Amino acid sequence: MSIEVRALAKSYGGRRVLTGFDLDVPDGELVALLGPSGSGKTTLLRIIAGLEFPDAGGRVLFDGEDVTTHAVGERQIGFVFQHYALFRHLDVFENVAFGLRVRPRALRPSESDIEAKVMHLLALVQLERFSRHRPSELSGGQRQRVALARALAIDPKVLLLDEPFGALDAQVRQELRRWLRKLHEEIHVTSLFVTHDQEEALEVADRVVLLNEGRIEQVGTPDAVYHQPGSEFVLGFLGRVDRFEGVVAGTSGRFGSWEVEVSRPHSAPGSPARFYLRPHDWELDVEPRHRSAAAARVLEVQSAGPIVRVELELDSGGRLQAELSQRRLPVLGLRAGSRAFVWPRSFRWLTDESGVPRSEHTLAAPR
Amino acid sequence: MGRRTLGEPGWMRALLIALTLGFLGLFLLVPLAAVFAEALRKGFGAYMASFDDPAALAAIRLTLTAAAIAVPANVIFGLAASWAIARFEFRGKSLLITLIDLPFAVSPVIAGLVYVLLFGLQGWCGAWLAAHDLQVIFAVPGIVLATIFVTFPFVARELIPLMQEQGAEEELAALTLGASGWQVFRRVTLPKVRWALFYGVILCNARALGEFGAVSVVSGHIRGRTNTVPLHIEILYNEYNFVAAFAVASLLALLALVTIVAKALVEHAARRRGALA
Repeated sequence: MSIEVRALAKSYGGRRVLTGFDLDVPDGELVALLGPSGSGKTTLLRIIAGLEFPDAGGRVLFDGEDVTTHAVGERQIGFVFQHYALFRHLDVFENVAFGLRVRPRALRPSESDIEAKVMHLLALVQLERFSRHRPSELSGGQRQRVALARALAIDPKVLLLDEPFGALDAQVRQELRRWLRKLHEEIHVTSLFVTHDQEEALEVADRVVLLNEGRIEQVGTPDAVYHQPGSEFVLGFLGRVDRFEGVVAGTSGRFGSWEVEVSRPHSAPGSPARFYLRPHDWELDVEPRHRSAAAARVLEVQSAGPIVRVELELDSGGRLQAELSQRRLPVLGLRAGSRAFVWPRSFRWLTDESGVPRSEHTLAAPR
Repeated sequence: MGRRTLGEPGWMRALLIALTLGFLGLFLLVPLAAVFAEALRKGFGAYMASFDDPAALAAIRLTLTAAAIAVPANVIFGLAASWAIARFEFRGKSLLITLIDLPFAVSPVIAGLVYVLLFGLQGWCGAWLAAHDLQVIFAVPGIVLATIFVTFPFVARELIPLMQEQGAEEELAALTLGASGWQVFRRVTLPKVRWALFYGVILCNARALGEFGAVSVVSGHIRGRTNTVPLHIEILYNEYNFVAAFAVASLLALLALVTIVAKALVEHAARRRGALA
């Protein structure tokens, strides 16, 4: 089922949490609502669920039908809470069966149908063996899977997950993420999940909705929001980025001690511009193999993990972080205090007038 | 845990334990034993004869009636108040919490006097009640009202902290699954708090059975009609009928013991299920 949100605004006692925006979620997509805390992402999710109501004028539509005034119980949504919210006095089986048992008598499945359905769902979340356990006897990851099975029991038209992995430790998070992705491919129910973890959003979702201060900054595939960020906020939020003040004139740009070419010439000569570089945008070497290589001192080398992160201080002032492969590290022999040269391979830039960052690659040949 | 880790000397531990036990013995066990000893002083026959008195039976019946009304009223009030306080933010909430404790702070005699002032013949509502041939003071309604007043913090005080700690997420989850308000209450909220509720009921019941001060003021001490068990004991005692007085008192003491055992069982069960904070 598709979800449409129209002119959605929400204030709490004069404080504006959502500033009035539209959002469309096509049928069957897995969408991440991503943003820092206080961006309004959870409020948006709860309004879609019917746990909160928008300010006058805002509307929520399911498959084109206006459900703004429908109570949460009428919307047939599956909601998964960050802290699971399992019924502590019921065992796993009864937790999952709850949504079926509270139906009006005429709509309630028979006992054998309930059992079949619950066991099917427990198989789906790989917890059949735990059907008679209490929630308190389960691990965090298992509890969250019970919560998911419980939400799926009512055949929800939409699945809404509020920071579903927020309370879990790193390894279980990873596992559950991949598992949620797989589950979504199996059942294909329109799903929205809230997260403040950009890695989680980029890894799991079909599309990412970036929220900041109650506004939508950008909506797009993980690839699009990462590689073509629509605003400086998105650039800064999706991973580490170093920012430099510089100028563009014609087709050339300058920031720090680097000279770069820009593809779209800027009309006003000598306009101030801001340049953004991610750790993988840098080229790093012990020799100045590029005409605008800048000399720097290595402050720190973090070599734990698949990628080596090198923190550098430029001789001309300013710091940046560059990345290396594990294979290159012994070749360069870098460690804290080493001398190195650094130059940009690619970058994003924008001026005050353009607003939207442009991606560029430096094609200039090595010296 | 234990002496070594806490680091205080052994004699200190022995002294503290001895002090506690001595205090308990002197102020609780000896009087309790005295009640039963006095009651049985003239033999078991005389003890049983004390309950053969219609006035004693009427007192027992009245006390049970008052408790049977006060305890359910308390449960309803306690659930409503704790739900409101734990779930909603509203003006005057802290005032409400303070007010719930009022019966603990106020002398029960004053509570009784307030009811006399309100519903007595010379009271604010006295004329209206008399005109409609309703009697509150010196009658069963007054006794029930006084009992409700002195017991009403019990259930609420057990439930409020528990509900505040448990939060409302499970209730929200039930709503998303399509449960109605009643189903949420019946299938989620009530089971969540049942041990605390039971605990509050036990305490409330004990107090309802034993209340003296407030009831004494509104009762009028009409033998066989408005005397509760505690009032009946006082009258017997004042008439130098010690065996009967202590025999009836032993009944209350027995109820207290049953209450303590029930309370211990509930606490045990609740701890085992992790349902009581």
